[in-house]
Amino acid sequence: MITDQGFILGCSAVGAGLAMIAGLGPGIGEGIAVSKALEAISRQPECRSEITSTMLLGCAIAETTGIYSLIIALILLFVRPLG
Amino acid sequence: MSVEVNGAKVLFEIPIFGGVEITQAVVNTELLLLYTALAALLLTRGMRLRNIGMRQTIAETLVRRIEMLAAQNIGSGDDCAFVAALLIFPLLSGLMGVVGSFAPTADLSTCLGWALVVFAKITARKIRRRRFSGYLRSFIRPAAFMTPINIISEASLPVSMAFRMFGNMASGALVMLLVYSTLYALGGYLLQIGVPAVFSLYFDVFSSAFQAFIFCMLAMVYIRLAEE
Repeated sequence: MITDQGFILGCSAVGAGLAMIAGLGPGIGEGIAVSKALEAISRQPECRSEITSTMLLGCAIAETTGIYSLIIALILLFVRPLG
Repeated sequence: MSVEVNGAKVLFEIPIFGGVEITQAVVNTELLLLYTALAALLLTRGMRLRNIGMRQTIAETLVRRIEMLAAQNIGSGDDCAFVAALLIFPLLSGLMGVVGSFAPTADLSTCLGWALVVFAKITARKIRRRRFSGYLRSFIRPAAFMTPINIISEASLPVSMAFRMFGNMASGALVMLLVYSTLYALGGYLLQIGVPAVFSLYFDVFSSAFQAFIFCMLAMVYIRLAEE
């Protein structure tokens, strides 16, 4: 017999797992950004530091969606707003 | 094995305004400010013009580096102190996690506070640059029906900055907690000595240094955009 509380907790855990699917996007996006940056550095090694810092900044912004999903997952798991 | 996850614990309460809760994050922030002030005092004591010592060299190199960073990204070195604060606080805060104490940046309130400071600075710059009327007018660009979207994009700035830092630092702290508890389950207290340091190197040291850099870079980019 599943209690209401247990059902809500289980669904929250599943929801947290589903939310983390959003981790795919930033991973792929950052991979593309880094590969392009590597191409740029191999073409113009003298611009290395500038390209690297711009890439890191872009990666941080691309990461935002992943971080949002992480926060939603953390809230679902530990704050448990639903149950 | 059960792992208990919670945020900053409330240490004590100040009985004014209906009880102000003092959490670990607040206490550690104050400690961090104290350490930073002491380090600054120590580094800049007995400064000389010629024949400078080791401590003065370190202090001058730090200030010059940050001045160069600010000049490169904002265009002027005026905001050097602000940038230095944005860089040094999250860096040291992350390093607090290494020794096992609560990192203040793993608390959403701290991150939101810093993000709001940056937001206030940017808004002040915008108003100074194009007057208050010009600032208000920037919301109806390019057309009046875009106003809600402009307001959302403006408000999302501090939120996204705060969540970015909080998410990274809190997830690092959470993973370290899981590492510690897994090691305990595998081999008791013996495995908890030394082994977590390897993980801590990435999740605490590298991650916090990287987030400090990102936070400071983003703030500088936003300030430069506000100047235009």
